[in-house]
Amino acid sequence: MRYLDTRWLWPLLIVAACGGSSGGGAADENPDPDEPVVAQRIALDGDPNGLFWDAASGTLYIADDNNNRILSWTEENGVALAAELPEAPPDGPGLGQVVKTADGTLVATRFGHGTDGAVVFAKPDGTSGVVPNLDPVRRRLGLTIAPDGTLYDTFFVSLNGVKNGSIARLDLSGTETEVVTGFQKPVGVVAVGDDLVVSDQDRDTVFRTPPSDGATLEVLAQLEGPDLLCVGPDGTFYSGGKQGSVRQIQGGGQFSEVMGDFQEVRGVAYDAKRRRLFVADHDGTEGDGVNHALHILPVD
Amino acid sequence: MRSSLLAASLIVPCVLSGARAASAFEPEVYPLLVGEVDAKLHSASRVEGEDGFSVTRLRLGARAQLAPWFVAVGQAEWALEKPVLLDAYASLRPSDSWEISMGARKTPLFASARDDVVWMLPVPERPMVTRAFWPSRDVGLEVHHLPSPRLPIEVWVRGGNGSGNILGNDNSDFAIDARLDAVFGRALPDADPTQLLGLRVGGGVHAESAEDRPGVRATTADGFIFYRPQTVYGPRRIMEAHVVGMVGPVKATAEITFARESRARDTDGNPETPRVDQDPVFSSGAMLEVAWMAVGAWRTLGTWPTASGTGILPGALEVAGRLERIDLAYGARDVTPGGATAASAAVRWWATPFAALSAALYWTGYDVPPIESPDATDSWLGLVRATFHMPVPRPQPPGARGSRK
Repeated sequence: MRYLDTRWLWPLLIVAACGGSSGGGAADENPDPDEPVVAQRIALDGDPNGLFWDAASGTLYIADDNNNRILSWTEENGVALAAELPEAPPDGPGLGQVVKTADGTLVATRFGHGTDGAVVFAKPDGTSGVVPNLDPVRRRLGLTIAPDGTLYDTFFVSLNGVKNGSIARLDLSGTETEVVTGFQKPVGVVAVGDDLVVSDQDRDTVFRTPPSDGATLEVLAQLEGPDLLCVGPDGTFYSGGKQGSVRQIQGGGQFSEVMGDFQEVRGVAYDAKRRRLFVADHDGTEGDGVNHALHILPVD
Repeated sequence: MRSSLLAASLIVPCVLSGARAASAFEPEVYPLLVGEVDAKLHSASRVEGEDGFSVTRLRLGARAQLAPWFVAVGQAEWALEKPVLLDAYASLRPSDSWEISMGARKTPLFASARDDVVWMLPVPERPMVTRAFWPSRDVGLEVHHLPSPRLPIEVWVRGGNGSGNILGNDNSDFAIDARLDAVFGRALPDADPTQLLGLRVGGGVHAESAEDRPGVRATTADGFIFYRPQTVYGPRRIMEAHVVGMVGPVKATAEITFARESRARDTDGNPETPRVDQDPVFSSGAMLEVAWMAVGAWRTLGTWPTASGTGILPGALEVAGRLERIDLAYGARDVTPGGATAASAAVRWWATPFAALSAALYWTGYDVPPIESPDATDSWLGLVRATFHMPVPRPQPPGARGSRK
């Protein structure tokens, strides 16, 4: 699978801008990097889950859980298709976090509901595939790249009605080695220096830990149902949640609500250069009308 | 074929005896309703739980006695994020001494868990040790021999689908529970509640093969997990012994327990390659509870305390205390063990046959500070609880059918 030219794909995507932005989804309010960021809501033809901000190319990548693909967003071109992913399992794509490796490969987790958990990838040459040998029982959600290029993912298994999760070191050749165990439902993970920051959704806690078992976990904050994570400004982190708000985690037990009144916040991504936060707003009740959206929020 | 014959041999006598008693029996369906509303105060508010009011239990269900030898029970807990099935089983009583049940219900270990219901205990909430080690409910087939004055032996043998799994749709594991008790005096079912003495003594074993699940998990009375359990995999064994003694208005319960949990690490994420064995972890615990029914009828196991008809206070008044010790995940070179010592005290006013008001205080001293509060060496919880339920008569054994109605 090649990366597609977004200019001719654009008309295929039903993307509308709301909340003050113009139609078409291109965020043309903020074309100049020196201009202040204006809050925007961009309706998506897709269900956004994991978000990844690629600072080098100024591109936001969006895991589209409805259509089993990765979307991209740039200020110039708005929303476009970045890559199609390998065929989804019968119970849906179940996409979690997406990241872009140094060679341009897009990698995403698949939740799999206990039967089809996987990690999928799409290379810049257009090929895509599933990381081999991984246990499909593992329900994978989080994914991050450490400064040395190592990939880490989060997963949990739910057996006997009990959830048990870990952070694992992921090799795209087909190994997934647990490095920190004993979580309940780990969702988000981000690499920060030599450490990992992980959100345990069922324990309502965000931890910081070195990537080695037996290390003492540091509790950064206790907050309701933290979801996927991203690194924010000044050593902070952002996380959403099903309750529909974005929280900024300062550490030392401190966190604050950045903004509420979303539907369900899944992925978050931060653009340090423009000081803006991207928010994946998931509509959990598609039956009464589909209302998935991407939000862009200025960060003071 | 063999199983069909077995089933027929169990059911046919029930049907025949039921037919004989049909004229004296009318099916009965009772709604089940239990509610508990708390006001809580924590020494570590927000970290170990929220202060203020909360609905701790709202259980709804029904119990249907459709024949003298057949009872069906269904019950769910509604005071959680999502409704959770608690009981869904059918029970056959081919004779006074035997019960065969199939479905989701409590596993038999621990007298304080199986023989009493959680909302009728002398100290609100089960002991810390019992919460940590009790395999909880599962779905399975259980054979139960009930004690009688002539043969005061109670036996449970249960084959189920593993710890904590009610729906049973996420694994193909099996677990075995077996328990043997000797029961005397007021501890016998249907015993005269004015008998001075009662004694229940026994023990049990739980065995299962675990698949990547947390090991023994200790919590405070409000559910705060103060020690991160290890992930266990492979054979898992829990043993317990208990004694419940009753002397007039005093009831004492002691339980000791021990667990051995295997571990094995998946080093590559590939389910086809073998795991690497790790040191097993061991955990143990003990608890002692003493309750005094200061006003009201003496306690019998598993029944709501009632007024004795005398005294200045309506209903029954009970004072109780509990001491506990738990040691967690020791014996492995790569694991830092944990543990705690706990004490609690409660006053419970069983005001009417359907409502009670309680006050309790819990203290937990940590061997290792919880990661959520690295400076904490202990914690306190204060609790005021209102309990209400819809009284339901006990199931009638087949031999009692002539006295019904």
